[in-house]
Amino acid sequence: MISRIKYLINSGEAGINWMAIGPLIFFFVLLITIFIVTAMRSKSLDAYDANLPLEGNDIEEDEN
Amino acid sequence: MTKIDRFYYDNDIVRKFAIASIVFGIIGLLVGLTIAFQLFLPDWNLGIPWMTYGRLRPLHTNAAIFAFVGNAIFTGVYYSTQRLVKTRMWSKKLGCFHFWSWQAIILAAAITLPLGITSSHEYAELEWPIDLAIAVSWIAFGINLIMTLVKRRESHIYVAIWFYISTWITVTMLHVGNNLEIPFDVFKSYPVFAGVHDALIQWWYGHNAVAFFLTTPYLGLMYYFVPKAANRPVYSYKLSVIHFWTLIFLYIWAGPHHLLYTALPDWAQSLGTVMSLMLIAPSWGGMLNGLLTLRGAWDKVRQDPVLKFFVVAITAYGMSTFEGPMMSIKSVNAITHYTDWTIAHVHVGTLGWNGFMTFGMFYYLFPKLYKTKLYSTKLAEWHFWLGTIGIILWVIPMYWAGVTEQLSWKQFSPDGTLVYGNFLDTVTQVIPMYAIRAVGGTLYYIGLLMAVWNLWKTAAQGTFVANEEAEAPALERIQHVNKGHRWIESRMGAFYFWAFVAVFIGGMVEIIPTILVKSNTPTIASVKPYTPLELQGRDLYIREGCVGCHSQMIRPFRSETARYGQYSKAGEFIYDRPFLFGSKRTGPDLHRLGGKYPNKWHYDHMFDPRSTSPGSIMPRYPWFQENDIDYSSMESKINVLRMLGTPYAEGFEKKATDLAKKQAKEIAANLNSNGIKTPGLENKEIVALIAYLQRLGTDIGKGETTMK
Repeated sequence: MISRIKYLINSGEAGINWMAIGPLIFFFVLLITIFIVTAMRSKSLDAYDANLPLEGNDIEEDEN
Repeated sequence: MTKIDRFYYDNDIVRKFAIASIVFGIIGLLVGLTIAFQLFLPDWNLGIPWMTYGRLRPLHTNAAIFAFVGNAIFTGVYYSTQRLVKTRMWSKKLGCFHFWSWQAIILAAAITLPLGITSSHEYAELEWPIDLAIAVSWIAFGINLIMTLVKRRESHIYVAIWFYISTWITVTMLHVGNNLEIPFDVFKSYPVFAGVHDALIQWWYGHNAVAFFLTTPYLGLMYYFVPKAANRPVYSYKLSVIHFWTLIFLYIWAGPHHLLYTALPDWAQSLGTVMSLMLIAPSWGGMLNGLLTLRGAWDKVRQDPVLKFFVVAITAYGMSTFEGPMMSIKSVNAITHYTDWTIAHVHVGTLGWNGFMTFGMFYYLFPKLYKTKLYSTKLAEWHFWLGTIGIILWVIPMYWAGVTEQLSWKQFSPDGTLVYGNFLDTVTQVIPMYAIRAVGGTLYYIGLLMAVWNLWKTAAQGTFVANEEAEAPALERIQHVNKGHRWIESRMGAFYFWAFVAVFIGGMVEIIPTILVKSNTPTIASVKPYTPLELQGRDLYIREGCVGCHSQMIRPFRSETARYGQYSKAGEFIYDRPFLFGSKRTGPDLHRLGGKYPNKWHYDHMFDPRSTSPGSIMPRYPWFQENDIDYSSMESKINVLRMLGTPYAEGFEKKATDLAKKQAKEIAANLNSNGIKTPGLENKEIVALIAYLQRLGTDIGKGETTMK
């Protein structure tokens, strides 16, 4: 298995462009983390947050 | 029993910025219309130096971005932030200072840019004194925003404010990074970085001026005004968390997509491509979140012009953010770069996303600020349709022109020669498309004037409430929810910090190795610093904004090396401060211009381009033959460049003016021998410009045969 991985890593003609691939891998790790963290959010709190712009707390809107 | 606070929202600052946005929209878009006409009517500059395309284009871009859109951003931010945190803006004085300083900056831009006082960095053309003023104004805005958040009555920081925070943090970082410059006189400076390094830093800034001035604040405004106008909450708060962080992280990396197939190191180009492609995901996340907020409210869109504007704006955002990543693919970029396709792409975003979001926001806001109804819904509907048709007539001809241009440039005959060896033949083909674009722009502008009339009449029929009474429960302490992402959603300081980390990484990964690793920009021994006269000429080239129409970066394509000569190497630009790669070829690339034409050709060409190139749309520059060369800053230019690393010998500055005059005499003598008898010719600016143009690209061998 390890030799296969080594073969894959060395098989690119000009080598693997780690400067480009490194950040891409980092980004995907970040993205998956964000997905997991977000999936566990509370629906009720999200509903409250999403309604913040709609709160009419200025007096004239309430009176109308 | 919860204590209820009664307080007032400050609408006065909102109205100030709204009016400023509208006024500068009228001016900035009129400048845009003017230069659109000048591209097929070059004598529309009336022979006046500060009316030429090269000087007016930066005025248009700065006015559109910082005056029209900038003031609109502040309008929306000041309005929405107060209501989202249920708190009046922290400081009226700071708000007023921010407002007046921002308008003073715009005025300074309106004076300096047509005068040719420019750094030539796109969207950062303003010179060092104005850069300092921008920093002061921006910090005032930032302090007011931060302190308002500190004093807030709502624990949760709504998603719109995350975008405002990321905007403020990132623009601060970019402004400082891209404006590192050393003045050599009261109004002019040279950037710290040169050539390829300068280019990378410029486009790290330039693309993120798009991202964090034209996109993130508008996404914030979308997250407030679309739910407000539709009276329904945003579609998915979860989606807003995901797309916010991925957007601000990825955007910063995208800068190199402006430098594909240039002398920028290949690994940096690859990073720019990859991250730009990834950017489709968070951008479309935002677009979908905005559009799906309207689910169940599409009948309202039929009746409400505000929602119509928002829908087209968000759709245009989606179009641009799909097209941009596609253009970042190298094989697509090979066709789009330097053409009018790029210009079309920009204007789908600016006219569609920024323009229409702004109009929708103002149509929503003015009735609220003046406690009345919109003066004429019908007029707003007319504006909407006129504007939409205007956008279509603007962008479609430009896509057509872009493809025509590039394919013409690349076309070879069966015998292996360029079909359109004369660049001018590719320009004349697209002039009809420039004319149609101008019609589209005119329609869009008429729509803007309709909006101005409509909003004016709305204000006239209503009563402005400068301080709007409100009430909200007092907040003794911020309530934190310490779970997952919620941990940061109530912690303002932490939010600022982690947003900064997210936007800092990309730039540093791309910039630091490019600058520090010498092998990324190989030097070439034969490349020497500019002579004093060539330096003067270069600064004239910058003054006139020649970089707006002419590139100096030959890509490694057979079609380009056959037309222009050897492709451009990174080492040729090490003394170029600022870099002048250019973004658009309305005229040909000039990097290998040196020695291609005799001095007299340049003399005649600058006086009247059509005398040497019939059908050319380049404006005339007769003042080069009238103005004397200004040597007053010569010494300090040399001193500053030496300080920045250009190897001028110690004491060289003392003889620089004499050397320049000696070279000028030689060029003047050559012109005299070819029949040019202008009195005092050796002192005229044209001689300096000729010296510079004849130097271009001559540091290395000619290589491939150039096509004449």
